[in-house]
Amino acid sequence: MFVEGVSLKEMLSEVLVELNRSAGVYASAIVSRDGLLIASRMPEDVDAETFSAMTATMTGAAETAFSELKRGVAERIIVEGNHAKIISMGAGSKALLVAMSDHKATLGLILHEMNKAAEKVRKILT
Amino acid sequence: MTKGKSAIDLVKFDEKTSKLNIAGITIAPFHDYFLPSILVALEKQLGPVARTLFLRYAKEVGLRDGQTLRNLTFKDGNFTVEEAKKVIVNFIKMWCSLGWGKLVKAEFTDGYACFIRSTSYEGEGYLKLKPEKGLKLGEDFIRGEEYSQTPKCTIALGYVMGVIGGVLQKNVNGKETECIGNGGKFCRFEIRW
Repeated sequence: MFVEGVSLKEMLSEVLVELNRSAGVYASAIVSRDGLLIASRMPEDVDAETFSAMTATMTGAAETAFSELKRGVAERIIVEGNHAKIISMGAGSKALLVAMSDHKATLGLILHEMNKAAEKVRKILT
Repeated sequence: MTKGKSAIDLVKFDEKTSKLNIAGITIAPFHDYFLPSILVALEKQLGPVARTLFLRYAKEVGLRDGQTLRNLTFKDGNFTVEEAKKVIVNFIKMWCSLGWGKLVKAEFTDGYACFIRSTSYEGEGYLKLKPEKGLKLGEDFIRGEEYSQTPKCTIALGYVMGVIGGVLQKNVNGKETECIGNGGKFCRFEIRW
């Protein structure tokens, strides 16, 4: 699919490049809700396909936990480890935006940038 | 496969251990709605990614079996497309005849393979999760659909992809482009590398 000479994948990659420039994010991906990789900007030592499947699994499980508890909808999943943070959020009905950052990065700033990026992804994929 | 014998003739039951085996590999049959029921339960927990996980892990098993097949058949690691075709198609034909479905067409060229089955263990098994069968329902049937909205032969597709990838030592991608569980007449796998 092309929009004015630029492929959809290039447009999505550009959103990720921009996100990776901000707020301590060093890896990001756009993943379909069934766990398939749509676009990614990952370090070479990360298996992007495994990362996609696992983040979609994590998000799916969290969403079910929320719906089972009848506490609304899970808007984002944040996993804080001793070396990194992983954040996953919806980017439209069919995709997820996932980012990985240094564990010391400021969460508020990352979320702000991710919300902007997710909105761009949603518009591109609509 | 031994000439004149079907794959099922090679299945032996060992009364001492109560195990079934074929060519030294222990097997156990499950009814056809067993795997679809597990997939339905996982889809309820994890969403559509459950299918991807099934496919991914079945592919890993197929990959290992494909590598074994390659090591046994092509000891020096050299083979032509025709030789690879023969080995892969024969293996998948035998595997299908153990209950995964009736293989009616196998196409294999350099970079593309297509397998078509007229019956399907997983696809038809999923159709048994309809209200009248008295089993835990498939999501599609809860929504009142007559068939699944997605192809259902996830394990078979993953396994076949893995076998091809293991024999050829290539990264393969595949799709089920028609599925009986999805309302199709056949189950069709299209695999590219």
